[in-house]
Amino acid sequence: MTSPFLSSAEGLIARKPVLGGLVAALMTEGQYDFWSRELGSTAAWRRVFARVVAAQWEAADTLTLTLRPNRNLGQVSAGQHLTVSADIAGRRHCRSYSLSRLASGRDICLTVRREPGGLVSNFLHDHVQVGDVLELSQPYGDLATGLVSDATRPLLMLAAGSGITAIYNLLASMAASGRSLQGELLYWEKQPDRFCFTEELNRLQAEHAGLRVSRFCNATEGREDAERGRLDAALAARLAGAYPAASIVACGGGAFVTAARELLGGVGKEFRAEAFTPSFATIDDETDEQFYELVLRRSGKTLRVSSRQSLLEQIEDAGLSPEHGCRMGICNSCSCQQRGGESVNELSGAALRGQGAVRLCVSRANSDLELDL
Amino acid sequence: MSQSKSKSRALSPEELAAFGAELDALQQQAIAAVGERDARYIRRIIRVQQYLEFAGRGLLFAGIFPPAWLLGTLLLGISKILENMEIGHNVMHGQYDFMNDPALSGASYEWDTVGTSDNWRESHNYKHHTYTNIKGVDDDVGYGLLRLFPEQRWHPAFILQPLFAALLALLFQWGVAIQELQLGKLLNGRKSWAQIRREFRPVWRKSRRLLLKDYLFFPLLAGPFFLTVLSGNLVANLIRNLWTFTIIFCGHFTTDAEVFHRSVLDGESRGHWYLRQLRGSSNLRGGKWFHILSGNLSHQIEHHLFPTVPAHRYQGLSLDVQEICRRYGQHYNTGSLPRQFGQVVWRILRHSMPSAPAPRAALIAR
Ligand code: FES
Repeated sequence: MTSPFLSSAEGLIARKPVLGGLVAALMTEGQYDFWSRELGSTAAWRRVFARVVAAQWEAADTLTLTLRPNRNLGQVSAGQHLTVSADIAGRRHCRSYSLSRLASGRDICLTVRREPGGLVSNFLHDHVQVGDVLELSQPYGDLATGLVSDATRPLLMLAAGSGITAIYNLLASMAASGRSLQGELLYWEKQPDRFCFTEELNRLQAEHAGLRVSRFCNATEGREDAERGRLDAALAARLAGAYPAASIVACGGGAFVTAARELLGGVGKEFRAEAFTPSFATIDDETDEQFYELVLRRSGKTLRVSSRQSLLEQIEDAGLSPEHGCRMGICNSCSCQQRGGESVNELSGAALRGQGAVRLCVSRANSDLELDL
Repeated sequence: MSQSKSKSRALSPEELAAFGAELDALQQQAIAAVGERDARYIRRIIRVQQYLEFAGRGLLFAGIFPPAWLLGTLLLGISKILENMEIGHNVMHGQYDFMNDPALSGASYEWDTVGTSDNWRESHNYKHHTYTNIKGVDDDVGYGLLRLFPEQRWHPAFILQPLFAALLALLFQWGVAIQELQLGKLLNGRKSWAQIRREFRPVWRKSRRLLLKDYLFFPLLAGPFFLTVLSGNLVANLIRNLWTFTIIFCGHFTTDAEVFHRSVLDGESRGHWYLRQLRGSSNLRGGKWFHILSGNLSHQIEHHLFPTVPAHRYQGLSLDVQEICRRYGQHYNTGSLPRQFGQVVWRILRHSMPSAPAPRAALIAR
């Protein structure tokens, strides 16, 4: 339940600086956020919290959550993603999901498929209820830039599995803006009961004479409206012939997107792709040295790092001088945010996957890595 | 063999390595166990602290009525103590980084005292914890103001040291705030006024905000009770200063706490480092709430051995540490608050007068 007091307080903060300034003089950000949550509001100083206002099954093991964010969420646009943070057993875990259905007002919808062993997806499926509050990141991604405005070119959209979420969002928002859709959507699922947005896509197809939706499923128990077949050279040739000037968008797992890029990268006017499966290395034997790519976000550098040496040393060897103190894992000076990938803390042996704080001096890379440095 | 006053025996290099390995293993075990329980603990403490502050400030608005003033001041003081020690200090050590909550991130937490967190992370987390009780390197040895060990050079001005110490206790948060400026370096010309001015800017910015909050904005909100709120806030700050001073001084300046010479750093091994942490620190005995209100720094020894382990686990770890100490013939320095504080006071008084260092206690047997 949103507390009337806090939603008005939130309004005051939004209308900075005078009253917001007064609140700032009396309390810290942490305190403001604490009391807001304590009184049942999602208002926050800067952070984006959102209340789950609805949950709806999309297909087997696929759930759409409608979220009502506080005012701190910036403008979202079609095809973008958001990172969802959930507190699971005392730790905050973050995963990124694409916008899916169009929601009313400032609400947003995210569609989450349960992944085998997926910590956050399983948590969202099993534990999150209407009324709960999750933290969101600001939206990011520019899959749609240019696509939405350039209505003249046909669209060729390829989705595999959860890749449909972003693609459906793009199509739905283009249709909602009054544009007549031209082109084809090709959509693969491994199991027939996993197809999402079936009614909605059929309706779009019915309403837009120029749009064709093709579904593919190779499971033995097929589905009437699905063909068989993978994305291969023959299919690519057909598409290239049919849509010589299309804008191509591909979304799916890493392997799918790589195949799409190889087969269709040179076709059409432009090619955009987004892959959602990260490639984590498994924790390997200490003895064999691995090399990974380390992306430093703030300094815009990319380094090749070994799994054998501390991140701090290797970053220093590259000529940067990150903050540090003791160099033995006790002072926390070298702590920095990891944005993606996996690192291992040598002191505790604990692996950190995805986002979190890393102590550079005692951590090493265990996959390609991205740091806020 | 020079004879030392240490109650601990020197370890052979082999023993030292084994000693270090045992503590490393203990630390790994502790870190591996960290999780939901710790998250629940710190969230509960934060909730208690926030409610105490709310209640304390609320009561002060009715502070014209003396019992309300007293209780309000006390609750506000306790909330400031909790925020300072169990929350701020421990969060800034990164003990709760595992939670990935931006509000509890060690690298960015800003605590509610006049010292800036960035300065503290440098002077405390880094210098003090890495170079614990090394004279001339760890500024916490006397805070550049007091002579607490005979190894520090005497000067006639130290005769007034009991007075300085009392002032430091009353104004402790300010002492911490300017510690990293190292004003002493002005006197011997190792720092310029311009440099001090530059470094003082963030300290000033932060302290101005807190001064305005406690001594202007909250009192103004109380309208006619301006003075009752102001005085309550002032006393609450004094309570916290005295408390933190007491706990912190008991952590390193009791009779058996040892001070070290820079030379210990030459090729110092992990085991050696642990040994120095152990011998330079001292604990306080007490009940559950006493430990919580001291930010569990009543277990200064465990804190120095394992600064990144959530502090509420120190009490449990201390049994293992004591057992290890027994096996390696190391003195585990602990006592009640009155006893340990008495020793601190004695140190302050004794070393205000000239005193000669006893032969240095060896850490490693040759
Ligand atoms: S440099 Fe001190 S923890 Fe890494």
